[in-house]
Amino acid sequence: MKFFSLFSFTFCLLIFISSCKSSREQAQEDGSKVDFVVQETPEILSVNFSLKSNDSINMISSIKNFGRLRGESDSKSEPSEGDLIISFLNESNTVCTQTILQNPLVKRLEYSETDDISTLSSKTVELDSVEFFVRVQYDPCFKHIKVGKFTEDKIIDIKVFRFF
Amino acid sequence: MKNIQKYGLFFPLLLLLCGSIQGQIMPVEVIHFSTTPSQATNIVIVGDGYTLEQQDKFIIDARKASIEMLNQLPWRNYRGSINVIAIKVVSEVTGASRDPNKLINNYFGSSYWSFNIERLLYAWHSSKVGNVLMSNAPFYDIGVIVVNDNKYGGSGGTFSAFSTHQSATEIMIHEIGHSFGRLSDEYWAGPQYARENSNMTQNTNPETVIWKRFLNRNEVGIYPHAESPTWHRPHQNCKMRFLGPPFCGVCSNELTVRLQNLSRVPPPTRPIAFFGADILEIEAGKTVNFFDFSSYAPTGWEWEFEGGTPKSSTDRYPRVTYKTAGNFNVTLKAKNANGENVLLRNDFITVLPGMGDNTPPTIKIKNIKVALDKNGIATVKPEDVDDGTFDDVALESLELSKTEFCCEDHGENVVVFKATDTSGNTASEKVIITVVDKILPTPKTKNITIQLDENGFASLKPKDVDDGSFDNCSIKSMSLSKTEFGIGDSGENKVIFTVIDVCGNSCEAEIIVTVEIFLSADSGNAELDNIKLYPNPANDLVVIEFLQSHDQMPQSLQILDLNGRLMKEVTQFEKTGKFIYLDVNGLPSGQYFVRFYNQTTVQVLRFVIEK
Repeated sequence: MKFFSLFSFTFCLLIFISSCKSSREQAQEDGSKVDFVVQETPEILSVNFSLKSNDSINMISSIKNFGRLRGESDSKSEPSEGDLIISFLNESNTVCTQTILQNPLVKRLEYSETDDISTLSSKTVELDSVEFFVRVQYDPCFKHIKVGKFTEDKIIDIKVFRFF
Repeated sequence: MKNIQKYGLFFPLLLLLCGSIQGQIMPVEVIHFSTTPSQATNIVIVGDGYTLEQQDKFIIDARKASIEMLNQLPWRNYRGSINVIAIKVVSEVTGASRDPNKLINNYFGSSYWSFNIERLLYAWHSSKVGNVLMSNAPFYDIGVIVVNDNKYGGSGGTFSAFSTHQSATEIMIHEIGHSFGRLSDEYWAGPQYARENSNMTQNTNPETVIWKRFLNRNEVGIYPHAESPTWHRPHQNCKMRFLGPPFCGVCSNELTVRLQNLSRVPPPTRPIAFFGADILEIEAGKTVNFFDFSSYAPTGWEWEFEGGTPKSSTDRYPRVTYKTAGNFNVTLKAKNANGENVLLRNDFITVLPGMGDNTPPTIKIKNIKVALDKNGIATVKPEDVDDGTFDDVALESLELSKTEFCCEDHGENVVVFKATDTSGNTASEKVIITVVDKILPTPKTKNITIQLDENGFASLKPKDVDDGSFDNCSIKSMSLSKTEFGIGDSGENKVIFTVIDVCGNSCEAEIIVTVEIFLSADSGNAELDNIKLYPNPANDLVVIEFLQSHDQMPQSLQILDLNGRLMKEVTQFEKTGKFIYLDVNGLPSGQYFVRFYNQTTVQVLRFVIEK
């Protein structure tokens, strides 16, 4: 009984503390922007995913903030085996923006293996699960996010997320 | 009571859980700022394993790493178009874990022994890195993580991580070569990484190899990898092969192209307002430094600080003091010729009740000299004598007991300098303000003609030739190099007119004094007490009779006409007698003067000749 009381108290306290989070933070987690904007301003969107080796994928969070992406795109021009194709779709599932990500489960690691700290070594590891993100220029047409995987020269859809 | 003890154990744990998911708006510090982020390569450094008390160390470490990087080519050549910003991320514990299966409570989950490799320092919560960057510097081009641990280690990837070991910065620079320059390794990493790239090829033809324009310069060639001779690198000692040496010409060029691309001036557009601050949670009475990070070259800034002092500012980097507790909004309107953009950050600054500040400011002042202006005024501001006065919280105001000085203040003046902090504590000290007058008086003169009096003398005073001399203060005295004139000064005389102001400055001007020996009809007497002239009018002879003793006899005498011209001079006559007989037969009718010279005086008698 005592344990139950303690558990109840703890549970209620957890809920209370969770609700104490700032509205700003809550806004981030449900995909809305961090700051209030007075007028229309270009925005950058960053979406965080978690991926497992069985192709189970989840959208962890997304964050928008003001700015314009510059320079070369992070997207690969052509997909390779295992790469992910992240498509931002409009209401009628037409692609607004698409980006190709190198398979995030395959990590290339560089490190110093010996006591000679001027030399590096490389190693590729295949992870069971990984967190990764994509950063794109936000477009109000974004309504869904479709994640596909390039396998055997074709794209297999893994999951579609309702974005807004 | 027992329950309280039990819950007491749980409560901090729950707070800890809550703290780990707090919002990601964080304070920032500018390490190196060159220009608006839209025309720069923006390197943003986040720290891991730095506790709240170690944030100053984080800034030092971030500064050290960025200096090391910006001192190397090609980064050094683009310092003017690179921004380095540090985001102050607070970890609960110091350093990195030694076991990725037992991560410690640092912010990004940095751990050595990642993937069973001792020196592989990897941030396991990498998505949090992206979130922190997006929240605080969404314009970032390069994100790096400095981990507060002295053990050598690092890793590459989207965000390179490196420890505070003295050699670890080289890992960061090498990894940025991959992530930013898209460069391949120039050591043999393995066949799985071999691909045609800007610094890796299987083409050995000097005419067509991708780095052909760099061949045979700065040791660039086509060097086979010993481990796989079909693949080649452009240099034997490039930073993409070994840590320590510089980038080779080929790799340096790749990085340069990207640096140039990001520093290109974009088409004209209105700004995108963005800002940060060096601290977001403060005690009442403390000061916050705000940083403008607005893109697209803003030229004007309008800040509004709810609850702050000042309440608004047009500075680019304002300092604001918050006196009362609360959560306060900050608004920035960034403007340029193409328009404006407004960013409001709600509850951006949290002010906690102050602990009470009883410490007065520390005064640092310097004695100064100030010069009077053309109106004889000198104005001094407190900032002019301030030499670094500071307060442990924040200064509210600086004052001087006297700020306006005039000619009467010439010399040393003891003035009281007073500093007041935001809590009303004051401190004051005396400072010496020396007022100097560097402006010389301006002499304005006129040339003058003077006539000798009946005794053959004339006096001149400075005011006779002054024509409105002036000074920014006032004139103390005027003088002439010569004031007495006699018969020997006939004609033009150069005389120096000197004017001195009340501050001792002097200036001279040369004037011409023309002396005319002109005797008017009124200036001579027909008879003196001791001399008698007759007949008068005369015809051909004039008798001059000395009525008293022989001592009065002149040494010489002259006959002058009405215009002062010498008609006759007589020196030969009996000096012991009582009479002098002058033959005036040759002189025409008219008025004449007889001037007698003896050793001390000149006397003049007037007479008329009628024929």
